[in-house]
Amino acid sequence: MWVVPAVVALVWTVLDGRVIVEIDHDELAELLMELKHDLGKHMLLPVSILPADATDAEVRSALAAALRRTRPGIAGPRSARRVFQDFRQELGGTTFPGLPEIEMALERALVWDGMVDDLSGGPLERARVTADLRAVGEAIGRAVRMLREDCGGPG
Amino acid sequence: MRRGRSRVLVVDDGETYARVVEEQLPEVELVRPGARTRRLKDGKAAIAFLEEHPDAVDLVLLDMHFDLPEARLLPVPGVQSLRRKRRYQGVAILHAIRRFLPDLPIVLLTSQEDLSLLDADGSLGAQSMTYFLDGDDLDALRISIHRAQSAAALGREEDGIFWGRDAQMVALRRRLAVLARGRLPVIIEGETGTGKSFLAERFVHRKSGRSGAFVVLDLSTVPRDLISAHLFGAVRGAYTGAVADRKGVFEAADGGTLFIDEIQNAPLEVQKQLLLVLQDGKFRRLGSTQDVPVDVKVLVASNTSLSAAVADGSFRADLYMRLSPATGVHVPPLRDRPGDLRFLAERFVAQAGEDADLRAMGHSLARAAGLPDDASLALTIGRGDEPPKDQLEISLAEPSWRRLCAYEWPGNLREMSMVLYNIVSFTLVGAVDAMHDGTPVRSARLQVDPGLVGELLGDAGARVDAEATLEEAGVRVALAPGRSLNAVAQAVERQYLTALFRQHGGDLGAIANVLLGDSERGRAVRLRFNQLGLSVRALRRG
Repeated sequence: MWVVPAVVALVWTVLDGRVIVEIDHDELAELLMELKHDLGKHMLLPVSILPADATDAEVRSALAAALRRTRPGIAGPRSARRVFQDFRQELGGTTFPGLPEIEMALERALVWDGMVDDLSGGPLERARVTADLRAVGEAIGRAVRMLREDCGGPG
Repeated sequence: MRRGRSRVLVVDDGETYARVVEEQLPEVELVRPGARTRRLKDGKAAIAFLEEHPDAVDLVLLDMHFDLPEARLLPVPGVQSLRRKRRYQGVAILHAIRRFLPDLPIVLLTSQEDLSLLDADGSLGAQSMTYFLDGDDLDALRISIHRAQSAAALGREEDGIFWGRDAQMVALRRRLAVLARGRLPVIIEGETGTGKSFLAERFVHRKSGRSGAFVVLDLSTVPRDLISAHLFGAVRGAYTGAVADRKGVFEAADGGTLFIDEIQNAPLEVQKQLLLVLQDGKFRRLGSTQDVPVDVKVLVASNTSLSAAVADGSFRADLYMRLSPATGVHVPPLRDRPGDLRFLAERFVAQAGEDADLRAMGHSLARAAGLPDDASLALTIGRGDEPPKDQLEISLAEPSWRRLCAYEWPGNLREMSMVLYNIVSFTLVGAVDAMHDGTPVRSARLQVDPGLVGELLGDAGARVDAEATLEEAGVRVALAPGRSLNAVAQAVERQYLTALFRQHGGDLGAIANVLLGDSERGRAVRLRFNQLGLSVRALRRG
C-alpha cells in the first residue's frame, strides 16, 4: 500500500547523490503513471494488438501510428518523442532513479521510426519491434516501483 | 436463457479496442451503440446506454484514461484536478455502472498496478465481476474477456448448483474451492433450505479429488442412543439388537468424504468420540477393542451457530476447535441475495419444465401455440416486447414479481424452488384445461394468475407461522411403547391433531390449511379424526 505523508513526500531523500527535487513526490508519481499510460500503453498497443498473421505493411502502418501519432493533443496528434519532451518539461529540474533507463529505452524504440518507410532491409522483425516498444513501458514501471520502495525507506 | 456469442460493449475514448474486438475477436459480438459508432466515448453516454438497455450487454470493456473536456467527465471520488479526473475516469464510470448493474462483468483496460495510486488497497479488483487487463497484446485481451465470461457463467450455475452472482456466494465458492482440497474439516453453517448438503456433495466432495465415497449422516434423523453405532459401527452383541457386525459411516467414507448434517444434535459423549477420531485418525467400533484407521475428510453442517452452542455449553469447545472454525463457511439465506432472485426464479422455472409431468403438458401447449414440441420453458417478467418464437413463456406480472422479491423466503432455496414449481404447474394445468374446454391457445406466453402468487406465498407464510405458534404454545407429545409402530404413530398423531384442534378453536378448515395448505379440505381432516377414533363432537364439548 502506498500512502505517503505530505511532509515526507516533499522532503524526498537524496539517492545516490543524483536526485534533485523540484516537484513533490505525488506529483512525480502521477507524471510517471501518465507517461506509462502514454508510452507504455499507447506507444505499444497498435503493434502488440495486431493479429499473429499481420502483414509487413500492417506492422509498418501500426508502428508509424505508435511512434508518430502516439497520443492526441490540442494541436493534433503527438509523437512519442513529443510526449516525452512534454514530460521532461513538466519535470523541470527533477530527476529520479530510473530516468536514464527510460531515456535509453525510448531512444532504442525510436530507432524504428527511421525504418518504418525504409523497405530496403526486408520485412520488419515484429518480435524485435514489439520487444523494443514494450521495454519503454517496463522501464517506466521499474522507475515507479523504485519510487514506491523509496517511500518505505528512510524519509 | 440466451445462448451464442457474448455481447461486448466498449467504453473508450480511443478507437483501438473497439476495432480489435470487431475485426479480430470473432468469438464475441461487438455491441454497436449506433449505426455508425462502435463504442461509447464517455461515461455519461455509457450510463445512459446501459440504463436503457441493461440486458443488451454481457460484458463491458472499460478504458481508464479518458482525454476529454471536463464537462464530459464524471466526478472521481477524492480527485480534484482535471488531469487526475481524466486519468481515473474509468473508476468513476465503473462505480456509476455498479450502482445499477452490480453483476455485469467489466474488464478494465488497464493493469492493476497502474491503478495503485487510486486503488491502494486493491478493492476494485476484489469487486465481484471486475477484472483487469493483464498484458498488452491480443492474447491478453482474449484471455481477459474469456476469464470474465467464464466467471460470469461459472458464477451463476455449476453442476446444478445455483451460485448466482451475489458477492457472498462468489466469495463462498472461492473459499470452498480452496477448503475442499485441504485435509481440514469444514464447518458449513446456514439456515435450513440454503443447500448445505448439496454444496457438500456437489462441490466440496467433487473438488476434493478424493476417490472414496461421499457418505451422509443426518443426526436429526438418528435416535440419540444409536448415533455412536451409526458413526463408528458396532460388533455383534455390542447393544441390544446388534445381531451382526456392522460398519459405521466413518468406515464407509474411508478415502472419501463424510458429511455430518445437523451436528448440533450430537450428544456430548458422541462429541468426545468425534474429537478422538479427528485427532487420531482412528476409532473403535462399539464393543470392539481394535482400532480402525480411517482417512476421511469430515464436513459438518449446522443450521444454528456452533459458536453459540459452545457458549451455552451444548457443544464441546475442544471439538469445535478441532473442526477448525477458522475455515468454516456460512451459506447466506436467500433474503440476503436479492440480486440473485431473478436468476434463481428463471432456473427454477426451467427446472420445473424438465419435470416429466409438466414437460408433457408443456409440449402439448407448445404444439398448440405453433412452437416445436420440445420448446423449453422460460420465465418472463412484465410485458414482453415480442411474442416468444422458440420457447414457452411463464409470464409473471410486475406486481407478482415484486411480491416474490419482497417475500422473506424462510425456507430459502428449497421453498423458492417449490413455489416456482407450483407457479409453473398451476399455470400449465390452467392452460391445458382451458384448451381442453375449447379455448384456443393463441400465444406461447402463458400469464400467471396474479392471485396465485399471493395464495402460494400466503399459504407458505401461514404454515411457517403455524409451526412457530405450535412450538411456542409448548405442544408436547408423550411417547409410550405400543403394540406396533403403527399404534405408536397413531398415538402421536392423535395428540398432535388434538393440540391443533384446540389451537384453532375446532376450526377444521384452519387445520386443513395448516396440514394440507388448503382450507377447503376440512372434510378430509374430519375423516382422519374419525379414523383415529377422535370424536370432533367430544373435543368441542370439552
